[in-house]
Formats: sequence, structure tokens, C-alpha cells
Amino acid sequence: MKKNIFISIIVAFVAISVSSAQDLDKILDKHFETIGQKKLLKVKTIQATGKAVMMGMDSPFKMISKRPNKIRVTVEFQGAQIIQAYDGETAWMINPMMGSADPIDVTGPEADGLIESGDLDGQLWNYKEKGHQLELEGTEEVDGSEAYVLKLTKKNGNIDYYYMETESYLILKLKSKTMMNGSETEAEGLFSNYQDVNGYIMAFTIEQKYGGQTAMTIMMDEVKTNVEVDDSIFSKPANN
Amino acid sequence: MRLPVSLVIAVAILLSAGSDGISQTQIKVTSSTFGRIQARQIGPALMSGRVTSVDALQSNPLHVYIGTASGGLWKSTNGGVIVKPVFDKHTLSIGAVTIDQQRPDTVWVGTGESWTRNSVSIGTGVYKSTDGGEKWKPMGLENSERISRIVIHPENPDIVYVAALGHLWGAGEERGLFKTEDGGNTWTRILYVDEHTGCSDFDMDPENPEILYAGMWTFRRTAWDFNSGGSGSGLYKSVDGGVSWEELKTDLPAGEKGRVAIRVSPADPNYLYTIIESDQTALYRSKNKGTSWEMLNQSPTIAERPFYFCLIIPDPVDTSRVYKPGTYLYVSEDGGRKFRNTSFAGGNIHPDIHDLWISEADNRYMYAATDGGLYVSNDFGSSWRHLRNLPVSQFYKVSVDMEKPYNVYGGLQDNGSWAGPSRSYGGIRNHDWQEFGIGDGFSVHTDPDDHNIVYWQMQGGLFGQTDKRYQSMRLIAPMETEETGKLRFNWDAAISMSPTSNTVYVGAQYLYKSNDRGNSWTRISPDLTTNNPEKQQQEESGGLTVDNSTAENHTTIFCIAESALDDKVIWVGTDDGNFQVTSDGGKSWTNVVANIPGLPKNTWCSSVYPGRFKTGTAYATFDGHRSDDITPYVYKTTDYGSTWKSLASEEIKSHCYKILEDLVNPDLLFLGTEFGLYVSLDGGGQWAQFKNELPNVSVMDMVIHPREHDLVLGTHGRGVYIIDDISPLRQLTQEVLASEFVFMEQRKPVPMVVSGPGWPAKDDEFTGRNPSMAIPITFYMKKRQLIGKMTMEIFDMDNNLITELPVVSRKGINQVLWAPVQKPPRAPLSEAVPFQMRIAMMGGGMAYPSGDYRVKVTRKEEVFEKVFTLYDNPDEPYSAEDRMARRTLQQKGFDLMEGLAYLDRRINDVRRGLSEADNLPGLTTAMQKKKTALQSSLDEIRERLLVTNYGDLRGDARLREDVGFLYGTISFYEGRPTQVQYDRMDLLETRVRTMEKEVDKLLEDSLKSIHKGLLKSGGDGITITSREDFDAEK
Repeated sequence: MKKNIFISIIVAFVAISVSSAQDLDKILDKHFETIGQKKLLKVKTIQATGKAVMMGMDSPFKMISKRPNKIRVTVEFQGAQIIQAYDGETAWMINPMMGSADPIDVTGPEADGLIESGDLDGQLWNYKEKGHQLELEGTEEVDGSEAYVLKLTKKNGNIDYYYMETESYLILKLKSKTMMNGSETEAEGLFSNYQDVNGYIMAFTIEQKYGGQTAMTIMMDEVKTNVEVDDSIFSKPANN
Repeated sequence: MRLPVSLVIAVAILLSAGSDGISQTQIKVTSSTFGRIQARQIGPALMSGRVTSVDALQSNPLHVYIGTASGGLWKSTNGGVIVKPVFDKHTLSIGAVTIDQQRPDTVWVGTGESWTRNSVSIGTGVYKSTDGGEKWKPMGLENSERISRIVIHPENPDIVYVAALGHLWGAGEERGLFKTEDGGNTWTRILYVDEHTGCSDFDMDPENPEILYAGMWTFRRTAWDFNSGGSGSGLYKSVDGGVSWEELKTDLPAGEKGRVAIRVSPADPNYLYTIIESDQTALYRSKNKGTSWEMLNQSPTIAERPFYFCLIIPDPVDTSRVYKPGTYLYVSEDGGRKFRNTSFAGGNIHPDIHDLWISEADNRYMYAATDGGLYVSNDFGSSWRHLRNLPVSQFYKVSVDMEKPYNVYGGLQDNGSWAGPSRSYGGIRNHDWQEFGIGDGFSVHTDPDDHNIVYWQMQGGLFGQTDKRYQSMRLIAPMETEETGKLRFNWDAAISMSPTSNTVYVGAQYLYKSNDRGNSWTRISPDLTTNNPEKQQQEESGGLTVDNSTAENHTTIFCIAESALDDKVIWVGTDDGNFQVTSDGGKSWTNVVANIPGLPKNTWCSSVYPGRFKTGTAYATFDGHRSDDITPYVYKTTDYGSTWKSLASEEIKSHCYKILEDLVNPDLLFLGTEFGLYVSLDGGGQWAQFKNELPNVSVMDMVIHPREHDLVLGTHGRGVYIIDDISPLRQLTQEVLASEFVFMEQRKPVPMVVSGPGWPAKDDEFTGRNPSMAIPITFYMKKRQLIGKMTMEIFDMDNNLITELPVVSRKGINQVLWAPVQKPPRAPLSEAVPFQMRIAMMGGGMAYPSGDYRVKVTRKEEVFEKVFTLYDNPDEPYSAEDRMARRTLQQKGFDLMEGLAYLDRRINDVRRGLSEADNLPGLTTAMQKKKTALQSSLDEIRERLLVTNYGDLRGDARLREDVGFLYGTISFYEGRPTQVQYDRMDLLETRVRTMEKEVDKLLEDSLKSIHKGLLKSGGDGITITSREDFDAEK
């Protein structure tokens, strides 16, 4: 009488074993080939401008990253400018919404996120050298598309799950689990509008979700590469 | 430009579907077809629901897993302050959860509750996670149905014992004690008695893992009877890891036995405790690993309801301390002779305790699993903290009223009858729910003419009525007469409201009707059941321990439904498998069940739904799980039951509780099953599970809200879910399904907006989400658009671009949310954000006025357009004139703020120009002086223009802050502004104009000559942004 359940369980088993047999390296190769990683490796700086949409409100943003690991993000919010940056050594921010225009140090998971964003190549590229571990966990359906599930256990112990569309080898979703003080938080990014930037393909729209609900969507209007950028903009300024 | 919507859709279909228009083959509908249409859970978590199993890390008791009866598995890493479901892709009935204490990321789950009450769900085997619950792998024993305990070998994690109770409603061989030695890949059944006997409890000697103890239990439930006890029950011991077993009989009851509990004292493995159900159920203790036993206690505390409470938990530290979970939590401090309630310092814990976890490091700290959620104690159970964030309430039935916002009503296993709002300030909180009546809860309805009148019931047909305003309680159930004899009501007795009037029906074995709100009843049928006397022996139900709670009442009416098209047509389904229909208001009845093909005789009728489009049409579901048959039985008739068609398909995985036809599209059907919700778009031809945010939960009842077009689900295990606005589902025709892109219609706005503050819930309390206040723009795509640009733009009807919205597309139905508000006014820039500017921000942008707008989607080269209408909230009490008055004043504030921003820009342009000229070599002293004078004048004006000091609590306010504050407060209220606000606006306008003039004059007086002087000295001079350029920056 319970035949249907058994069939579905068997199917689930089969799906797991088939996908586990796939070669992780081959999938990664395909992915990097698709997005044009070779081109990206030659890029020295990336500058993206656009807007962050939060609860129907647009906030213009600008992100600049420079090799090897520098990044600066500015978001204009209601006439105030919020800055987050990392110069390779110090992660810092200025947030007038928090009552001060003095730069303050950013630590913990927030800093980790910023530092990771400063890595132009992405966390999957040379993941071993970065001290991460990567496993292919099988496939899963993501919003109607079949996707490889790649589990990246990062050097700091936090885990990212990359959901890569099996058809296109593009990342559809990134689920990040962060441990802080022994408690776990989870965030999701949904990627879309992949477009060409001088031979490199990147997602121009990223929807950020917490607890299953959309918190913010980032829309990039323009992405430029190899713009001249002075190192000083990444450094933490002195107090006002 | 305004295109008719229908034309747009038609064009889009033609464009996308190619020349043949409609594809020849049926499009396969899958879960992903429903796209972004999501269910939202509204709770309640106030009373929570049955928790069956709890395990925590002994090295960190705050790291805890909570297994529930039918609401899934939950995990917390902070002692329950924040919990999250970790098993929602699987079966939600949890029998046992066990953490590998040496490897905390490894967790085993046995599905299928072992507390075998009548309403219990079913399991699908054993699962294992090796990453802390992120991912689970099914590890077999799929047919065990329910699992009572899992124990992991302390030294070898590949050795795991699973105590399988097996099927409740039928015989089966996948039961007894199972062992794996390879981490779950293969299993050996190491203790088996017969196909009626399962393993009810199990334990291992903590010092010698080769010594095992197992309690075996013979039991069986039917729809009308429960039997605990039989020749297979007994207590067993093995000293060789389960290779051989010896039944322990010395000092233990010799006759027929029932459920057996067995636990080893973690404090001293020589100490064993067992409860053996028999004609004199008792607690026994052994001090020598089972060689001999002493009977310690035979009181009702030990003997009560063994099928629900046969459990004994020795304290991990103190051998004289032992706990007996039962109706309450009892403790003995003399090794099991005398017991008392643990509670005295408060001690408010929900009755019916099913599991207890105690910390070895601090045995005051414990978790108790109850029928009303999980509790934590840090004083040996004297007082308890309730987890208020575990929304695992078990609804039997659900209904809605027509209030604004509407309320959802329903009754819960062991937790009464309730109502809660579909949306509320700041989200739907525990305190938003109101209770009615007493006892277990089932159906709850309001009178359609007076929502204060609430019908509720408790088990066994005790129908009650409450006036919400006074919480009065009036029993209205029909009672037996000489003519009727004893009335038989189901545990979950049938009550039904007419869809067109306030007539109420209730069902015993007869159907009763009341036109006066239950004051009097007319019997309108003969006995509609099989009236089989063999199924009416409930006073003997229970086996060794008689248990007649009405849970086994049988040969009763279970479903009643009056046709919305003809009130003389009434359909009745019974729990013993009759299906009756009358078309003359009850004068004559026809049992049509024999016409239903493929339906086993006497299968419980779980729901009936009369079609809304044609009299004589009805849908019905039948549920055979109480005969160990979980086949889906779903049928439709169009001729009053003469002929039937099966609508079941292989996509449906289990037995069915409820079928519903849509109110608008007769091809759209909803089916509630033990394992989730299914949707058919073609009248039952094919079904797909609806998954979006909705787990595989038992969907026992559902209703479509006729005004708001929401599908409201009553789940048995996860409370109430609402799928807001199902109208996009109504449009999923074959043509639409075949399309690359189609805009979809959505409902007109309903009284959506719950504005205003809601005291925010804190981490440890559940909050149900409100529907989004943004406007969803809905479209369907056959395939996701991942590569290449896709944008959505909104235009007004004068072709002005209003906004561009992000599109993250997916397969199926897409929704992009548009919050129809303009950008807020630009304000003079400062790094300081004082309180008044926060008020201005909260006011946000001005709302776009109601009316028509055009949406344009560009996907690579293709363009899709549609005109849609924005409406005012119909239920807000503001006239169009008042709204316009507010808008006008708001616009004035907006313009003033932008004016100030431009003024500040001019000042800053000049200041920048002046300071850049500071080091010009050719600057004359006179010019230097002029320059400094202008600089300081501008600085002084700017000091009056805005606050530049950091920090928001300095109390400073300048012109910017004053305008911002006024603008914000006008924005809060959609009606006419107050006179005070008008007067204030006039005053501020004067102040702004005055300051503008002051700046104009200052610049007129000195700027020209300074500018010239700077140029002469080789500088760039001073350039001021023009108002045109400033406005163009938007």
C-alpha cells in the first residue's frame, strides 16, 4: 500500500548516488570556462555601480575591488553615506546611521564577508590554496532548475553551499551558514541577469534573503574593469 | 498608451508559443510551476503542539534537537531561544531523535511517532545526518511506520540500534529491534516476536554496550478499537550485543502483558527500571542488571494510559531519583516507591509528558516534551520555561470569517479551539490568538450573520457556542431522546455551516439541522451509518488498560456538506464508509458508496465538497489509513453519485483528508494529504505537490477565503498556513503553461494594510508574517531567464518612467514586488542623522496616486507590456478629497525639502570654490578679505540650515530638521492634515524663502566680484549648479 513512498525514496537514493559519481573538477572546469575565469584573472580592478533595493527604496551603491584583496563599498542611504572597506589588513566602516561619522573597525562574520568579497576570483577558484574544502553533494532543484550542490567548507569553518545550474554551469544560489558564538545564521543570495563584462560573465542582479524572505536586491547598472584606483581609498581614515 | 490586458496576453502567447499557438502535448505540471506563490505560516505557537522526543548534547545542553508528533524536527544551538526546522523536506512525524554524543554533527532520526493515539501520523523509516542536520539521508526501515528509540554504540558510531514499533493499524514484519554495524547501510532484525509486536523501548548498559534490554509490545488499533497487550509482550535482555536474547520473567508479571518501558540508570548500570503494563501495571526495579526485580509502585501514576505514557526516566546522577512522565511529570526521590508532581515553584507545564532529557553535568537542567510544546527547567522540574517559538500546533479543521482583516478559526489536538487574525500589527503574534471553549478542539465556525457567535466543540460531539464579547459558554449539542436512543458522535464530530445561510448541521449517526443557532435541532435523516454493533464496543477499548476517551467512537457521520447551489442537496460521509446524498432536504437519502469504483468497503470518508458550478457535482476523499491502507482515494461525481471518476494519480503519495474545488475555476483543485498539499490545474488529471514554504505536513482541512482569494490551510502539525491570492493559479491554463512569458491578473486590493507599530516579537517568540504591502506584479515563464538582461520598468500613463525593478526570474509563476512610493525628497547632505531626519525617513516617499500604470518587461530583445491599476485601500476611512489635501501638503513639504537641498548645494558649491582658491598666489588682500567674509557668512547660514554635529540624540534642530519632521508626520497619516500642520508648513515655508533670499542677496552682493577676482588670480572661479541640472540629477 505504501508503494509510492518507497518509490520516491528509491528515486532519491538513485539521484544521490548518480550525482556523487560526477567529477567535481570537471564541473568546476566547466563553470570557470563558462564564466570566463581566464579573463577575470587578468582583471586588476572591478568597479560596479548600481542600486540596492530595500523594501521598495533605492539606495545607490558603488563597489570597487582591487587585486590582491582590497574592496570598498559605498551605499547612499537617505542623504547619508555608508562606507565599508578592507585594505588587505583592516576591515572598517563609516555608518552615520549608527550615530557617528568616525570610521570603526569591522570584525567577525561581517568582516569575513567583506574580505571574501575583496577576492576577485571568488572562493571556488583555487579553493584548496585558500584552505577551503569543496565537496559535490549531489543535485537539487532550485526554483525549477536542476543544480549541482557544492559544499564549500571554508578555512574559518563557515560553510557556503553553491547551487550551480547543471544546464548552464552558472551559480543560481549561494547559501551561507555562519557560526557566531556557537549559534548559526543563514543567508541566501539568488543570482540572475548574467551579463558579459569584457569576456567575463557575472550576475548583475543579486537577491539577498534572510529567513526565506527578501531583504535586499542589488541591481548593477554598470561594471567596469581595470579602472585606475588609488590604494588610499581602501585605507581606514583617521577620526574626524 | 493603454493596451487592453487581454490583448497583451494574447499577443504574448502568440509571440512565445510560435505558429501552432497551443502545444499538442499536455504540459507537465510540477511543484516548480507554482513559482513564487508562497505559503506563509501564521502560527499559532502560543500553545505549540505535541513534542515526542528530545535529545541534547551532554557536553553542551543548549545544543538540542526537538522531535515533534507531526511538525517535524527542530534544532536550537542556544537552548531553545531560537529554533529552526531542519527536517522539512522529509516526514514530519518524529518518533525518536538521537545525537551521537561523541560526534555532535551526526544525528539519527526515526520517523513515525510511537505514542499511538488515534490521531497519530505515520513515518517513513530512519534518517541520518552527518552535518548537524543540514542534509539527511534515508537509511532504510521505510516500512517500520513508527520508531520508539535509537541508541548509538558509545565506542563505534557505525553500530546503531533502532527500536521499531511497526504498523499501528495492521500487521507487519518490519518491527522489533534492528541493528546496523555499517552506519545504516544494512540492518539486521535482532529481536522479533511476531507481526503484531513491536519494540516499545530499548536501552543499553552504558558501561558494557554488549548488554542490551528491550521491551516488546503487542498492540493494534482500528478505527473503532485499540488493543494493548498480547502474548508477544515482554522484557528481554541480551549480553552479546543482540545475538541471543533471554526473556526476563523472574519477579515480573506472568500473565498477559502490554506496553513495556525499560531504562538503565546512567548513574549505576546495575539499576534497571521497567514499567510493565498488565492487569496490575507496575514499576519494577532491579539492582543486579535484571537478575531479580522488586515491584515498587502500582499507583495510577505509573499505570495511566500506557500507550501514551509508558516511560520511565532515571536521573543520570542520583540512583534514588527517577522520573515518570505522564499526565504530569512525577518524580520519586526514594528510588521509585513514592512519586510526587515535580512542580511546586510555579510548575505551570502543559499536561501529557512524552519525553524528558536531563543534563548529566547539572541534573537540575531538563527538557520536557509535552502535548503543548517543549519546556525547559533548571530546578529539577519545579518550574518551567515554555518555548513560545515552536509553531507545531495540530489543527483538525479550519474556517474563516469575513472580518477585516479576516480571522482564521480551528481546533487543536489537546489544545482547544482558537481564532487568530490573518494579518496583524507587526506580524501575527502569539497574543493575537484567542481561545474558546474547553477540551480538545476540532471544528470552529462563526455565524455568518454575527461573527461574535462562535461554534466550537470538544471531543465526542460536545458542541458549544461562545459569544466572543463575553466568553460565555453554552452547550448546544443535540441529546438523545427515547426515539433516537444513544447518540454516536465521532471524536472529531461533524459540524457544518450552510454556505448560503446561518443554518447549522451536526452529525451523530443521524443528521441534525438547526435554524436557530443550536437552540433546537431537527433530525433530518435516519441512521446514515452501517450501524455495525461490532464497531460500537468502545467501553471495552484499550486492551489491558481500558481507555474510552471517545477517540474510538465509530459508525458516526464524519462529513456534512450542503450544496451552495441548492440547499435541499446535502452530502454526508460516514467514518464507516457510507456516502449518502439527499436532494430533498433530508426526506429521502441514497447511499451511493457502492457506485464508487476501486474503493474498499467501509473506508472512512474524510471529506466531501459539493461542486460550485453544477448541482449534482461533488468531490470526495476517503481515508483508509486506519485499516493500514494509505492509498489516495479521490473521486468526483457529476450526477448525484450515480457514477464516479477517480481523480487519484501516482503523484499523490499518501492518504487524503480534504478536497476543495476553486471558487472561480472548476479545473483548479486542492487536495490535502498526510504528506502535504497537492494542486491540480486540470480537474484532477494530474497533480503536483505545492511546496513553496509548505513542508510535507498533514493538511487536514482548508478553505478559500471568498473575498481575498486566499487558500487557508489547517495543518495537523504546523498550524495555519495562508497562500495569499491564488488567482494566478486560476490562470494556469494549458495555453499559459506553454508560454515563454505571460502577465497574470491578480486580485484587486483587499484590506491588506496593517499599518502602525506592532511591539516587535523577540527572538524567543514566533511571529507569523503579514502579506507584503507591496504590489506584486505577476507573470509566468516556462523557463528561467538566467543569461542576458531582463528588466521591469513601471511607467505612468504619461509615459514617465517611475522606477526600474529588479527581476530575479525563475521557472513558473514570478512575482516582482513594487512598493508604489516615490523616492523621498533629497535633503541637504550631512553626516549627522538627528531624530527629526529619522522621522522624515520613516515618512519615506510620497505614495503614487491610485490609477493606471504601465509595466514593461524587457527580456533581451523582447518587450512585454501591460496596464494595471493601483487602488486606494478600500477600507480606510479617508475621502478622496482628504487624500488629495494630504497629498498637496505633503508635496509642499517635499518641495521645501528639495528646495533646501538645492540651497545647500549652492552654498556648498560656493564654499568649495572659495576654499579651493585658498592658496591662489595672485589673490589680493582685499579679495582675500572679501572671500573670507563670504565664507564665514555662508558657514553661519549653513549652521542655521542643518545640524552637522554627529549623533542623533543631541536635540539639535535646524531648518532641515524642522521641515523633515513636519514632512514625516504628514506622511504617517493618509487623511487630511491637521490645522497645526498647515500653519507650521506656512511658517517653515516663510523661513525657507527668507533663507533663500538671504543667500541670494549675499551672493548677488559679493559673488560676482569674487568670481572675477579668482579668475584674474589664475583660479577656476566659482561654478554654481543650476536648478535645472540639480533637478536632472534625479
